[in-house]
Amino acid sequence: MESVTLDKDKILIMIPVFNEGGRVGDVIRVLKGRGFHWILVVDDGSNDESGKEAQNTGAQVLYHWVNRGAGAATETGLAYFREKGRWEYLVTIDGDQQHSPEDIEILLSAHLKNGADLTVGDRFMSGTNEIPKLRIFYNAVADGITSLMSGRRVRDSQSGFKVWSRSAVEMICIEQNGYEFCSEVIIKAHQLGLRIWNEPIQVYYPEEIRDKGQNFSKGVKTFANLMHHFLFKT
Amino acid sequence: MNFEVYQLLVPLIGVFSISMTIKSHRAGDNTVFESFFWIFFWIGVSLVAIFPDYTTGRLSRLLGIKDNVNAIIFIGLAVSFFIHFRTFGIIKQQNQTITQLVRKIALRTEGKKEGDL
Repeated sequence: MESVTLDKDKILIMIPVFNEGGRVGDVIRVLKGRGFHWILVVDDGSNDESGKEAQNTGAQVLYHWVNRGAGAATETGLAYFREKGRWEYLVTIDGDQQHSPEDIEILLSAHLKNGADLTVGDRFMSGTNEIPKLRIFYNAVADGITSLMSGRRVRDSQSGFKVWSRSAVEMICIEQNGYEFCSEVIIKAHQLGLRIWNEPIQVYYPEEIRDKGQNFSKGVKTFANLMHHFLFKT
Repeated sequence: MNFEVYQLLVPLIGVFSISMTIKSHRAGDNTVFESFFWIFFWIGVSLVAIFPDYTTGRLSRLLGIKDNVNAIIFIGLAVSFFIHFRTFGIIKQQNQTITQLVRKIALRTEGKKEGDL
């Protein structure tokens, strides 16, 4: 891909974490090594030392004193971005090492080159990632529901690896506390007429993180919450 | 006409509940819609208790349900569903309030965990 000059001083990397001790520190070290110095970790009420580990590695940390969910933690990061008004782009990346920090430059380049407001790191586009079959199934169901609700064909709606332009951060306010926020962001972006771009990324699912993320009961809850929110706006 | 104990007890509970609803409304805890809903609900329950045959008969004819008991079960289910729905909405609102509070604390105490303060 044609390279685009990136001013890393205008980029905030945001990592929402819940019990990612032993992993989040490594993610931050790699990011620092690649020249990203604005790194925010939102510790969503972890029971381990995730937050302290992030602080010791040089990240700015916001602590949720009570666990509120991935959506709530991400919105806290967005609120921080809006409040400080210092950056042009926000990158959200998972703290469990499933995403490759090396892909950030690829996502940012694609984001700038295509004039996107929101760029989604797409785990399924390349076709080379080894993704557990159950996860593929849950994602397909979630993509179907998100497509129905947004009226557009949506791919990898559940990806946590995204690049947001300032306009997207200003316009989208996440109201869903749990994993349903991923669909909410895509639906709202479409409703607001924002330009969404999907770019292939690498993803790893080591044994210790395979149980994280979506499962059947969370999927049902996610669906019920989304339906309730979009039908009754509560 | 035989008068059963429940025909006195249920309206008494109804009057008590209506007075509590009005009190809550005056204190600003209930919306107008909620207050009206509960007042009509308890008036309805009290009327069914005082005039069981007449009210359930009218209801079953109105809804096209042949059996009086079925009509009551049907309406009971509908009311129960509505209450569950409202409760779900209220719990979601409470959850949002807690999240907003947790977020405000996180933004104001940047870099500090609960035990650090």
